[in-house]
Amino acid sequence: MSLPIDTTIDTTTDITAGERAPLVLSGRGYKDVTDKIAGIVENKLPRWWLPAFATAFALSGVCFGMIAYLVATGVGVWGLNHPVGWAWDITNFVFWVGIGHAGTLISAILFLLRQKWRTSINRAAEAMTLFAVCCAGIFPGIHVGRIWRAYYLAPVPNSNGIWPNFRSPLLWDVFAVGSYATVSLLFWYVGLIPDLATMRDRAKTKLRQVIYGFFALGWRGSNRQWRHYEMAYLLLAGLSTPLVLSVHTVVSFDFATSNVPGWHATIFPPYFVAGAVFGGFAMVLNLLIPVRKLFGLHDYITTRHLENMCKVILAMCCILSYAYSMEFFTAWYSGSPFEKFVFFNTRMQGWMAWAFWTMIFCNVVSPQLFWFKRFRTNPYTIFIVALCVNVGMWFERFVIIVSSLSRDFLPSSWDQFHPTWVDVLTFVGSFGVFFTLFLLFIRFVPLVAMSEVKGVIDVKKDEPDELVAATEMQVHR
Amino acid sequence: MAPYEKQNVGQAIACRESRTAGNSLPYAEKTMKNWPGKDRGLPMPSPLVRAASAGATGKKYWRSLGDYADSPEFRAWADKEFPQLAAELDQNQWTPTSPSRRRFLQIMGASIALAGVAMTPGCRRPDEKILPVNKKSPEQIPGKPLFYATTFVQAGVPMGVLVETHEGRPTKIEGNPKHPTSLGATNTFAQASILDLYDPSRSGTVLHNGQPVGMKEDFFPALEKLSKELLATKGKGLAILSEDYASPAFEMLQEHFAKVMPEAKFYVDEPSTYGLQKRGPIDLSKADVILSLDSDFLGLDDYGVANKRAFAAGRKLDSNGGKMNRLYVVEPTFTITGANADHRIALPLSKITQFAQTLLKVLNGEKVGDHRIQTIGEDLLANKDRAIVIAGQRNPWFAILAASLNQRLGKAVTPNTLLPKSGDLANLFARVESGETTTLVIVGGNPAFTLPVDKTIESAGYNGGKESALLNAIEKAPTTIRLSLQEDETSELCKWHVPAAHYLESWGDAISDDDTLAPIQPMIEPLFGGITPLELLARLSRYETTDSYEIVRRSFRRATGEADVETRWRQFLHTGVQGDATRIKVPSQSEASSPFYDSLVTKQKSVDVVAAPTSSAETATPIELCFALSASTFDGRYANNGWMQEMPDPITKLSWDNAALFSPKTARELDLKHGDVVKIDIDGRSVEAPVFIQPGTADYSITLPLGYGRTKVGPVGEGAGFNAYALRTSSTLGFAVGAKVTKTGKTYKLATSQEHWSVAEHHLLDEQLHERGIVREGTLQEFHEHPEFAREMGVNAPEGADNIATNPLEQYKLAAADPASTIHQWGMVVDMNACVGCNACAVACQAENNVPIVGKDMVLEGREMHWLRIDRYFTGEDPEGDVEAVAQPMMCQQCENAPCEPVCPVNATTHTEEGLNAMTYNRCIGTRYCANNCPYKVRRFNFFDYNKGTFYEKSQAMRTGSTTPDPVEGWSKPQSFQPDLAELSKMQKNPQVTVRMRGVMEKCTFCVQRIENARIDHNAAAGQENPGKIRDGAIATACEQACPTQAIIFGDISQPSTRVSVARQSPRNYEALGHLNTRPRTTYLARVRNVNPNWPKEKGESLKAEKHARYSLPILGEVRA
Repeated sequence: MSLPIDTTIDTTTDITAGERAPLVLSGRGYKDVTDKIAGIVENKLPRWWLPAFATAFALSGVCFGMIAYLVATGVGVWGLNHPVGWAWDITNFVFWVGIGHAGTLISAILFLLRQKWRTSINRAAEAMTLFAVCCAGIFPGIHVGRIWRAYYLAPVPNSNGIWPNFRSPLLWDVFAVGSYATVSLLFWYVGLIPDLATMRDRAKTKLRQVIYGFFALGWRGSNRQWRHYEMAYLLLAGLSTPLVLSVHTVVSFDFATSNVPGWHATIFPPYFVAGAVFGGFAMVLNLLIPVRKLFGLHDYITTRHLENMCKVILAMCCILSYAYSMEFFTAWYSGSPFEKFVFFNTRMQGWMAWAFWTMIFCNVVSPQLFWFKRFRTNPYTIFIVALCVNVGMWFERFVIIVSSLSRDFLPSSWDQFHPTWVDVLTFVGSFGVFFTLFLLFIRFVPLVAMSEVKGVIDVKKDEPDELVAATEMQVHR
Repeated sequence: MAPYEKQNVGQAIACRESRTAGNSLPYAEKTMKNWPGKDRGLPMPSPLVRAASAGATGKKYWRSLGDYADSPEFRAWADKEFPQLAAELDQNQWTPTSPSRRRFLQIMGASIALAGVAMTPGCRRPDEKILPVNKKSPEQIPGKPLFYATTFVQAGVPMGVLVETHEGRPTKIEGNPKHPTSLGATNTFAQASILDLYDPSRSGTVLHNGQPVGMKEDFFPALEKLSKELLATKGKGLAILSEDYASPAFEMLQEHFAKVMPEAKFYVDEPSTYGLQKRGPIDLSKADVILSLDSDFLGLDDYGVANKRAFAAGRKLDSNGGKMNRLYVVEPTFTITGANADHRIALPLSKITQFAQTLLKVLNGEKVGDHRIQTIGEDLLANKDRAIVIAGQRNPWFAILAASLNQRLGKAVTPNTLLPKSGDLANLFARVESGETTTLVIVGGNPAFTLPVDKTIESAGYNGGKESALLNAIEKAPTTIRLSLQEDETSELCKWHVPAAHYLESWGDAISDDDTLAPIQPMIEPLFGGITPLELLARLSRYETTDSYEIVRRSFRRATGEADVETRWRQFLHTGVQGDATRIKVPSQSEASSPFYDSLVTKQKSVDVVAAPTSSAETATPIELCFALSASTFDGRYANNGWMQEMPDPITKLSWDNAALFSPKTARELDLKHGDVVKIDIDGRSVEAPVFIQPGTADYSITLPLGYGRTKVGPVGEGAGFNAYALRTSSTLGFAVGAKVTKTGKTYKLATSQEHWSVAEHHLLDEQLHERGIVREGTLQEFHEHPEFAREMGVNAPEGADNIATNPLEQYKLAAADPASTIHQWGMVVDMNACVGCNACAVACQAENNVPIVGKDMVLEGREMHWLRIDRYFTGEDPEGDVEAVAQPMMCQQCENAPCEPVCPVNATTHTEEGLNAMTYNRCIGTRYCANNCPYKVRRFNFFDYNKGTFYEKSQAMRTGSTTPDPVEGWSKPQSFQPDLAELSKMQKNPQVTVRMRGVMEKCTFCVQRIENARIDHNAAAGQENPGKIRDGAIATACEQACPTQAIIFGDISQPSTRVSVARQSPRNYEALGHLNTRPRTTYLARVRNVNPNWPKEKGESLKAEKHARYSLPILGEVRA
């Protein structure tokens, strides 16, 4: 039924002032949306999916193999040492948690701000959030020395009456990340319900019908259901919004509340949140640009979508650059020899200089390309810059954590950190976990929110009446 | 976390082994034979006591009870003790109404047995009675350690020690306050010696030509046969080479030899004295100005502990009324002594004679061109009767020059340092070579490893063959008997190898150079069935008794020159020292006649003083090699001791290896980098050694620490370092000139516990150190002008800085200030002016607190576990110029406002009401956040299960890296090991301290177990009603106790009169990193250098005072007063 379209025509970014670009191109109607998106799940597997999945699954196996080795042997399998008590473990944790920011931000904050362009990308972004939080959850869990006692972190009443230490930022982390993961999951799932019902209704096999039906929670699309659904979605969006800000704020407290030079800084909470949004948007771009290409989703994820995200990245880049320079200024202005040493001797020119300058290049220099429209509308440059940003954000955490610990107060204790093969494989393996989940997601769940996209379509007069009738209910959104 | 279990496993193992042959008679039989102990002179009070002391043979006692109780002696005793029952024993007076004789025996038997059981929970106690010292209750109370006095002897220097034993298991060495060379302190070697006792790789069998044979079955008969032959020939062909035991009993046997085998020759070999006599203790009490000519008298020289105490006594500013001694050191590379110098001159050893000669001119009233020498000379002259020159032993001329210098200062000299050692070893080997000596007995030492490697024995015209002619000679001797703790290089060359008993398993005695006699008592039966040197010599000479105890007893009788009085003997064993010697008496020095020394000096002048090299051109430059003892392995004897191997060198901070120490300039000129492997050639001999660039080393002088590169050693010492002995000949025992250094292109990983600083970074570090104010030091002048100088250096907390919330500790502090309260507030002060940085505290801490060793690879990763470490910093403008060193003991500072506590998510580290930062191991999950947030970096994380299994097997896996490149595998793969022996090293563990598992954080606890022990004792003595406070000084932490300079003071800071409170009142008192508002309970007293105001301002010196002022940095609005 779909119309033959020339996917190369995308003028969404060429609009003049006062004009609104369409959010869906080529005059796609409701049926097109359903057929296209549901088709991705229903049609035969694309040829690339199985090899991709096999690779990702194998990598996740590596991750869990490394974890098993770690648990069986000891944390010493990583390259940690006495001044550097945290390195890749917490770097990876903060990296993944940061990535987990974009999804909920796109879904919740942009929803509250009535940014309708979010509809094409929110589903995938939210899924990415969840999977990134899963990866993030792995690292603090396994980095402790006695994993089998990690449940001491939970406020479980016990016979000796010892509670967790509520003064510890690590405990705040447990609650912050825990509630963020829970609310993000709920938000994502609630948003999925109408689409799951569509999948159920279109199911050609009993099994699919039962499974989708089970998760669709008996959705019938009634007015009453829509009314409740909308209210729930709005409430969850409201609930998620502060969490987006709080989770990385709390993560930054792990460092900011300590007294380690280079960690002990009041600038950390906003700086970390901006960094997380920065990295998260970059990861969304890195995922959606290939997905858009592979599934031919150009009508739904338009160049304007990409450009908007690039603009967010550019804004965040400015905030981060300011934060970086402020860190140096503070170190200099404090006159503290400890702070100054970490920034000027260890990061700028010491043994961490290579990592620091990599970070500066990736996070400060490379996004400057987005000042130019030519670069922020070209999927290839966007993809490369986003990749840089992801690398840069990993290095940012690595630089903060390791350079500070390696050169803290007593010069007698200074040491360096060298990752071991277990460090490397665990990190690489965590990408396996992430991509395994993401590939399963695009295979089994509609990766674009069909019901929401239909709400932003210009309704065509030549659409069958019943379809018009069916969608009119959503138009008020 | 499993607390330490199976404490007695080792005892059980040991029980299975046969007892030593000398004591092989069943106990009861022996007792009967000796009863009532005529030749022991033991008027036994009762068989009960005797039985109790039997200990080791409680089981045997049961079996022979019937015989025992029917002996005439027993009847006599029973008659006296139980007259109403005695009749029962007499068969003739038996009546049907009286209790039966059988019944009586039942009663008595049970009592005796009970006594035996109660008194002997372990079965490894020695037969003879040794008496616990006055520290602890006389009864054995399970769980309560007993302390016995014994003596640790190293290189002829005895040190009285008290050994803590838990249920018959020695666990810890403490100094004996009554012994003059210890004064309650110890050194690293004494502390670590306990680990050698439990070394599973110790030798346990006699070897004959490499084949294991029986001690009793094979060796003793062979020895008897040999002895008969030798007696027949008056000992012709017998030579005995021993280490210096300083034992009167040994001398007594030597006299016996002189009687029965007059032809036998005795030789002593101690490589640590460089072929000279040991110097003996030095009188530093009246020394205001001290000049050391290459003498490490605060470090590895003999009587180091006594010297350190005496030296530090002269530097305690607070108690000396602001006066302190001044130390000048001239040496080729940093020693502990050099690090403590007020002025240090780095000179090649070959130039120090010139230095001393020039100085002599100054003392003679001449003016010399070198301003520094002129200044030193003038200072010495100005303090003429309060100055002393101390000579090192690496160049025999130093002793002569020092004697001359001292004489100019009006000092008598110690003559024995001038004399070469008796019994020239070359003679010995010439005799062996010529066939004159046919039987060579080598007792202790390790000559095959330590002997000079001369190619020829001149007198014998030996040539060719082995690298070392001396070794060849040992191998060629027809009969060679070797007694040693381990099968070592010497054992390999000898026909017979006999396992020796460790000193903690032996009876013996030792006399120090001030004639203080001290006993060596066994704490435990020989674990490996070794015998003592005394027993070996007694058997060889067919002495009246072969029992070491008997020999020592006779020696004591001989030494005291009186009849054997039991009380005196008991007193001797009890105090560990004869008489009441608490201060070392410097042996009387004969006033040397001036012409003699003048002639020596004249003679010395005519000797060619080897010209020191001045440049290192490409080709065959004469580079000087200095041989030095190792602070870890000494002369190689502790090579298999894990604690010593891992303890970082006090200066280089290198562990598990030695390295050739180069000055930065020499390394630069030779284009060498840290860790490059170089080939060092001299006179056709060569070794390959890694390069270590050590600031403060004299240019063109390379220091090679001895004692590494052992070829036949246990798994711990295997592959550690290179053998510098391989370059040493009998004419170059201390140093050699004319070495050639070539690069090999190889590199070697050196494990240092502190970051190694490249030359480029050194300047940076120096600046950082002053800015940070961690180590604060000033000159004596600064101190007098402004005593509180230390408080204003570095970064300090702003006035009125406090917590946001009230510190809960405040209320306890207030409560503790009430004299009626039983709450204490613990604190510690470290006097950096007294601390010399010798590591004794660090090893003591390791022994006390079950701190594991981790192996070289883990040290390379930066994962050493020491709770107490000595931070060593260098300062100086130019690393190639003069640098100064300073040591700072760093352990948990027990911050009142501890940054580690709030960050722990599981409440595993919390504060006690007495101000201890407590660690709950079984609550810890190991997030390591506490360690990250600890500014002092004293928290130690168990990255692996360092305590599981034995460190020996771990080390082996770690060290033999050829098959397991990854350190992880070494820890995960258990090596095949005899399980019984693996248990052995657990016996050393302190049962009062938890053995930590992997994944938990650990740290210094202020020895909380000692605090609690003292509290229990105090409360028990004081009674239930208001026990009051523990007496100041009743608690000594392990580090405090071991410290030879009394630099560490622990106590209650809430009471103003305690030593620690008084020390905290010192104007020099400062908090390290106090600006963080951590409020550490451990504070430091700033170091003061007694700089000579006339010292010529040269590079590196001039800026010091200025620098101190420059870095007094105001921060956070605080303005300097």
